[in-house]
Amino acid sequence: MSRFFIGILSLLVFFLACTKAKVGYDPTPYSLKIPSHFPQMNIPADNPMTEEGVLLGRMLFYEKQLSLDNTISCGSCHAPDAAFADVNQFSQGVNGAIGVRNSMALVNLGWQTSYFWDGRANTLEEQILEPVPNPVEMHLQWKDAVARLKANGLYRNQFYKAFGVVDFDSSHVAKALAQFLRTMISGESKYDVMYKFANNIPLTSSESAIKNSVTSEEWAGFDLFKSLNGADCFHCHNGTLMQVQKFSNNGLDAVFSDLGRGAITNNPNDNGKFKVPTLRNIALSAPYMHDGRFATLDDVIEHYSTGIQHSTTIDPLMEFASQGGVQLDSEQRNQLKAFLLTLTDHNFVTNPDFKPLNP
Amino acid sequence: MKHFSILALLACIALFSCKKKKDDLVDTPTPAVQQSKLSMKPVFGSANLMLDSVYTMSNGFQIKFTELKAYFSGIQSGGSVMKDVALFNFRETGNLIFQSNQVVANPSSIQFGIGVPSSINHNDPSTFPNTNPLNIAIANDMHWDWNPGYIFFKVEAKVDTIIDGITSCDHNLVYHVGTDSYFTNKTISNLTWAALSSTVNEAWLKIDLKNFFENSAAPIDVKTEFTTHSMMPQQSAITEKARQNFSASISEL
Repeated sequence: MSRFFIGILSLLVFFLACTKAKVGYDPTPYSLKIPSHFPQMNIPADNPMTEEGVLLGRMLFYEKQLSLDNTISCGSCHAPDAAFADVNQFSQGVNGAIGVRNSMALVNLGWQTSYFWDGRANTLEEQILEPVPNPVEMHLQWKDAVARLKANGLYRNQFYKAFGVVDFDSSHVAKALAQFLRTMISGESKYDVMYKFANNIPLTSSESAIKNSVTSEEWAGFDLFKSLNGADCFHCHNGTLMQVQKFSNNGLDAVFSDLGRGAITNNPNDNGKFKVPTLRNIALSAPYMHDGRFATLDDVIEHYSTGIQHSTTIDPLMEFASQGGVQLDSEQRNQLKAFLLTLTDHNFVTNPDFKPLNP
Repeated sequence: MKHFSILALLACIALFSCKKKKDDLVDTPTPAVQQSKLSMKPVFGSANLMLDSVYTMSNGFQIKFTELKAYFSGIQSGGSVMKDVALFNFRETGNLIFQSNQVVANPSSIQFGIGVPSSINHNDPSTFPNTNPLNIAIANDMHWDWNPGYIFFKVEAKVDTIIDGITSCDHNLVYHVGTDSYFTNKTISNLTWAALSSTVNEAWLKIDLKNFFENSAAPIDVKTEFTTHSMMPQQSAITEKARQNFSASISEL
């Protein structure tokens, strides 16, 4: 009988010894800092924001172990100094592999309704699953990536803290990264003050001071930007996000070497269309367009001014296409450029919360 | 052994006491909510209309539509408001205008505005609840921040005005109608509701985009009247035509 009780006691001791004493699962809800003039963000019900999840996502964003040869992280092609885009026309993956499209700037992703230039991902979590196994990007199978993370005690603990799981997988990696990316909100540029003023939204005293610092050239550029007979930019780039959620052929080519959205939908009416990108922090995110063909903002303005190529799927809102573009003169180009520079959100690109934990 | 039996018994009691008793769950049937669903079918004359498909106008021009969206507001019947605001977005959400819990007489007369009333047209579009069609995340390109307010309806198309047997719809048509003065009230009489299911009644409207261009009271010449954003004075005539014709083209299916 006593042997039986000793056996029971041993079992109890064994189980108690296995209990995780140091790492618990008690996630803290994360409060997103959404600017007052922005809409609320829809957070997926199966991936609520937590402090632990956001921290884990930040760790993973700069984790080079997620690439085959441990040389590349998400942050390699989405660098803070480049407004979380890539200064190169095409990003370089492991083993020198080169992609075919320019890295998109990561900003205000929580409000997007599609991801990638061709919109092939419908959710942020879905998008995140692609770059790791992509041969021209990180080129690492997810099972291997997860195995590497599981071999690291720091990650094992953080995944448990964030999701209460020991046997985590790629879906947990995607969720954590998505949580971090949703925190990357840009809404404190000079343009935001101009937007609020133009939309009769009350300004704080500090915002009023910023409004008073807006130059006449910047206001003139803003007027041009939203003028039907000016630069005519506002159809695709407006609102707090400085973009609309659509795919558009903006007259880059008469013949398409990249079908863009059309390759996803197999609808010829979508050929040559790409996701309309935000113009936020545009001064920092060169080069431009889906293929990074334009190195400078001047090149972009030149395209819309005189370089429009006609094709069957050109956006009907490119209303000056038949004339080759909106025909801005030198002064107008300078004004438009001055306005585009107001879209730089210095607080966003220097936010320490978006930088590597251990730079 | 006696101690073991007692322990086992206690363990069993503890386990079973934690089990949710089925008897505790009161099975209270919730009454089925009766709903009304209003849809709209775009047509081109007698043909069903699909975006990106080519149709022939009475003058022989060929046309394909690329976008059709509209705000309907203050939708009511018999003094009962069925929906404050609804966004019809043919490409993204198909035929549905709205579905609500209001049930109205059958047949019934419904009244609605085409557009957004001035009382809310100029509000900050970020302040509407996430599920409200006026929230900027849903409104998307149906809101003008440069002239704060909503686009009441938009019709976009590409037309081929050269009748040579070769289809080449490359002439863009853009009709974006908004601003307070172009808000339009509309009444549909004798709208018939049919049972879609035991809880949902459905009624259908149609919008004839052939009539949008060829309405005898105000025909639109696509060669010269190909664009409006409701803003510039020189566009007021075409904007008014588009407003009239859009409203006149909506009827019971």
